[in-house]
Parts: sequence; C-alpha cells; structure tokens
Amino acid sequence: MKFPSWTGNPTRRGELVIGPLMILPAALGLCIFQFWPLGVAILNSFRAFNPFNHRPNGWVGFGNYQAVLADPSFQSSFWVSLIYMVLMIVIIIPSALGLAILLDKRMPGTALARGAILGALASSEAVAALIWNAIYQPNSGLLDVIFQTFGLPSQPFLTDGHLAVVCIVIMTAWKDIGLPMLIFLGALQAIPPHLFEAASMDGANRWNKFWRITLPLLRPSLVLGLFMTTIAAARLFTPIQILTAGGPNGQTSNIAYFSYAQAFLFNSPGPAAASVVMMLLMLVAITIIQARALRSRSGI
Amino acid sequence: MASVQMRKVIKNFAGAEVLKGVDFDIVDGEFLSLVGPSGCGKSTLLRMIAGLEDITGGEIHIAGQVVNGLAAKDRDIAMVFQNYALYPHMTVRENLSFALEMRGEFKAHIEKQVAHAAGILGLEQLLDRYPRQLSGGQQQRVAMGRAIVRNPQVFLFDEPLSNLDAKLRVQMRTEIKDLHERLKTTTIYVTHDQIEAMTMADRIVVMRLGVVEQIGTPLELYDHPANSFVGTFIGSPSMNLLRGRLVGGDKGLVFEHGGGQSMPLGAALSGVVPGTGVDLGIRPEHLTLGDTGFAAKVVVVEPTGAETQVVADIDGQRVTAIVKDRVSIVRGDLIHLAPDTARVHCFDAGTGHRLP
Repeated sequence: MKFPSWTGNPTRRGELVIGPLMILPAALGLCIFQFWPLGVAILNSFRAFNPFNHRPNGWVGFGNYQAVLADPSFQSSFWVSLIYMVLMIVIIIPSALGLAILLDKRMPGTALARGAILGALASSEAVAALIWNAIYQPNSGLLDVIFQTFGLPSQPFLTDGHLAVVCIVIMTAWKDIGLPMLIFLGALQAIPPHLFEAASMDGANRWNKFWRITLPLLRPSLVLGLFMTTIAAARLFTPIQILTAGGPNGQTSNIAYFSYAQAFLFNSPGPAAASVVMMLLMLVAITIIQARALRSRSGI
Repeated sequence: MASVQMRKVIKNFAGAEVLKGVDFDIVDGEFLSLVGPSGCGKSTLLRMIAGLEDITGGEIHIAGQVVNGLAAKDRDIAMVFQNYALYPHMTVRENLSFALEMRGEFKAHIEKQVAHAAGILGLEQLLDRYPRQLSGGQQQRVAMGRAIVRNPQVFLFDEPLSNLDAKLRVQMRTEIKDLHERLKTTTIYVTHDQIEAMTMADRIVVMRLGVVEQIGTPLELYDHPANSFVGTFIGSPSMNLLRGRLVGGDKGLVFEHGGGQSMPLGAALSGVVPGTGVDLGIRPEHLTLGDTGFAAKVVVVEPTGAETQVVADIDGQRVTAIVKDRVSIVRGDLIHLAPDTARVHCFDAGTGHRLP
C-alpha cells in the first residue's frame, strides 16, 4: 500500500511554504494584540499587585474574583451591561433591518441616506460622543431647544441615571447602526428575486413574503448582526467615558467601565483583570445561548 | 383547465418595443410551446401571462376573463421557473404546502394534496429533505410538484430543463409530457431548444424579435415552414439554405446556385415565377450522397453511430447532410449531394417568405 507523501499533490507543494508565510503577519498580530493580553489578564486576575508600582507581588487564587463579586458597584455594572446589551439589540437590529429594507427599495435619496449612515459609522467614537454631548446639554442642547419650542420641560438627559443609559444607547446606535445595516442590505440583495416571484404566484402578500421568505433567509446575517451588537454593547466604553464618566453615581457604568476604573482610577489591576475575565465569560455564555436559540435546521 | 388568448399584446421596456402585437389562442388542455432565439420576447410573454410583468397594450384572457389588471396570485396559474425557485429554507413538504397555506386551506386538506402531488411525481421519500439535499432532477420535480399541488387552470414553464444535463433533460422531457397527458392541464412551455418544443408540444409558436413568425403543430412547422427563419430554426441539424435563382427549363424549373452549379427541380415548386432570387431550403436528411447532385468538398465527417453527419462545401457555401449508412469519406474528398426535389423548400431571397 502506498501512503501519500507529505508533499501530496506536487502542484500544491509550494503552498506548504507560502501558505503559512502568508498567514504569519495576521497570526503574529493576533498573538501579540489578542492572545497575549488575554493570557496576561487571566494571569493577573489571580495575582495581587503592589499599589504603588503596579507590579505583581504574589498569587491570591480567586481572591480578586471574590472581591469583585462582593463589590456592589460591580453588581450594578453587571446589570447595566445587560441593560446596554438588551437595549442596543432591541434598538439597533430592527432599525438596521428597517433601514436596509428601505435602502434596498432604491427610492429617491437612497444614496444620500446611505452616505449619511456610513458617515456616522466612519466617524470617531469620541467625536460622535462629543457631538451628542452637545445635543444632550441641558437648556442649550439641541434636544432641549426642540423640547422648549414645543413647550415641554427641560430633560435631565445625562444627569438622570436611567435616562442617561438610554441616551448612551441612542448615541451608540446612531453611530454603529451602519455596519449591521450594510450586512443586512447585502443579504437582502443576495436573495434571488425569483423567490419573491414564486411567492407572488403562490399567493403570498407582502407580509407573508417578509415573514416567510425574507426573514428566514436573512437568518445568518441577523445572527451575525446580533453577535456584533452584543459584543459592541459589552465593550461599550468611550461614550460612557465622555458623556457620563460612569455617573451619575455609577448608574451608567458597565463592566468595561468598571474594569477601566479599577485599573486606572483606583490602582487595582487584580480586580480589574478579574472583572475583564468575567465579562469575557459572560459574553461567551450569552453568544452560546444566542447561537443555540437561533440554530437552523435548514442549514441557512 | 382553461383556454388562454393573446389579443394584440404589446410590451415596452424603456421605450423599446419587445412584443409587437402578439395574437394567438391556446385551447383548453393544450400543450403549447413558445420557442425562439434569445431576446425574442418569449419569456417576457410568459411572465406577462403569469402576472409578473405589466401589459403595455392589448389583452390577455384566461378562461374568458381579461386578466390585465389581475395580480399573479388571482390568476389561478402556476409557474415552474428556470432555476426552480424552491424556497431554500423550507423542506420539500413545506415548499409544496406553501401555496395552499397562503390560500388558508385546512391542514388535513394540505397534507392530502401534498401527498397526492408527491405520489404523482415520486417525491414521497424526499418530503423531509431541503432543496440543497436534492439533485437537479429532484429539484425540478419538486418545482413541478409545487405547481401541481395547487391544481391550477394553467401551467407555465419557463425553460425548466435548461439547468439539467443532457441525459436528465431527455428523461424530464418525457416526465413533463407524461404529466400533461395525465393531468390535461393547459400548459404553456417556453424554451429556446426547438427539440424540446418539437417532442413535447401539441402546437408550437415560433417567435422572433417580438413577433410571432408561425404557429402550428411540430410537423406542420417542420414540413411547411412559413419562412426561412422558421425553416432554419426548427430541425436539428438546421435546414440548409442555398442562395440562387430559379430559371425555366424544358422539364420544369431549374435552380441555379450562386456558385454556378444548377439543379433541375422537375415538377416541384411549379407555382414559382422563373427568374426569382431564392433560398433553396433542403433538410439535411433530404440530401443523398451519390454520383449526381451538387458537387461538394467534404469539410467535416461526424459519425454519431446511428447516422453520419457530413458537412460539405458547395462553391463556398456550407451544407450539412445526414447519411444513414456508414461512409468512408474524409475531409477534402469530392462528393455529390443530391436533394430530394419533391421535399425542397423555396424562400424568397429578399423577404424570406415561403414560395409559392
């Protein structure tokens, strides 16, 4: 019996060298900027640190985790993180789908609308947060001016905890809606038109076509959009930092902001690392649940 | 089942007239095929009958009712698309049930109808599979099942076999014909493949550039093409056209080929005025290899087993002959090809119209 040699197909021999070489830069980048910091964070989460020079000075086992879990501000951040996720998913996914459907219709002004949405996506997160900070300003901000025009009272957009969470989500949705919208638009345009023609012949009305044809065929893109939005919501940081700095009274602080505050404001790298690892575990758990819930039998 | 009538049907796309007053009737239970080269408007006409394209002018009647303003779903017709248009996220059962669900039929009735259609097409074992798990032929059968399950007045087929390989195409051709024989539902079948049209249809409508060139049974079109376009379009290999003129002779007309050779036609084409510039149409099987006839030089010999196709050059004009016997000629040989003068066709060289 002849076993295939390691070179296999002679015409593909060169790929054995060129292939790994081509993925080397990306693999190196991933190792340096993703896996290495992750590994360090996991190690740090089990260490104690010297508060003055921030150097590790011993192992504390699950001590950092116990401390973080017992911290009421972490508990609050955990729930706020979940609220951000739910609100962002509820606002961004249907809005992005609605916008994608409108843009797919190629109505007048479509190019302009697409440009505006992608413009927001391309803008810096910090700049967008500063713009919205101006919009949310009490009395002089755009929203309050509009409210006053209609005789409505001034609103504490960023000074009321609950309202501030919503304001941060709206700002983030405004900025980030472009990417899921683009994904949905691409998926919509990839649905063969003859399926809708067949559905017309089968007696389907617009709603039937959307519910029975469009939505199931968008499933992979919806799942992708859902994952992206979930991860973006979990990592939400810049808007919180610029609009509220976690306030008022920590009511807008999520786990990401909590970790930042522990590491850089309270000089506690151990609890910061422990909270980052817990956020990671939370994200993994949520995405597994989402993937299972949205699993499809048809392979679509 | 229903009859379908076209009444001066016109279709414009962005100012361009792609259908120029199409006018014909399809009788109840008939299998009619629309054929023509790409861009002749046959698929557009089918889509207009389906309700998927607006009608610019004229009227389409289905079962005596003008359907110009009716939505596709209200015309009680079913269509089999070229690429099947199966819903990829639904099982075969769900694909078959969809139209009945849209109609609001009871579940028990839907199950009965689906089982009936699956039985007719041999799909019983495939009902729980998804389209991606089926072969091309199976997908084609599901597409037909989706049409059958609704028990419509008219079936429309838009080049349904063009995505299948040659062997499967022949098999599906038989299945579709058999299905029509069993159901007797009025069927309009669009194809660019004249063999499909010839083998399946009760009548054929030949179209070119948005105009109906001829309507008739397959053999009427084959034996009496109305013009040189229909003559060359119907039949494979195509009818040979030899450009020349007819002159009077002692024993009837003589065809003088442009290349200089002439051929007495005897009593054939007696109604044609001598001196007319014509295209002499000769089917490949009506050319005989022998010692008389047009002198020609062999270009290609194509044995197919049952017969041999010989492509030869008559004074610069290529012709094809089908020889039943096996021959031992090769490229470059000089041969003689004699037409069966009783079966030649004559077309006006200018207009292409049949003479006399």
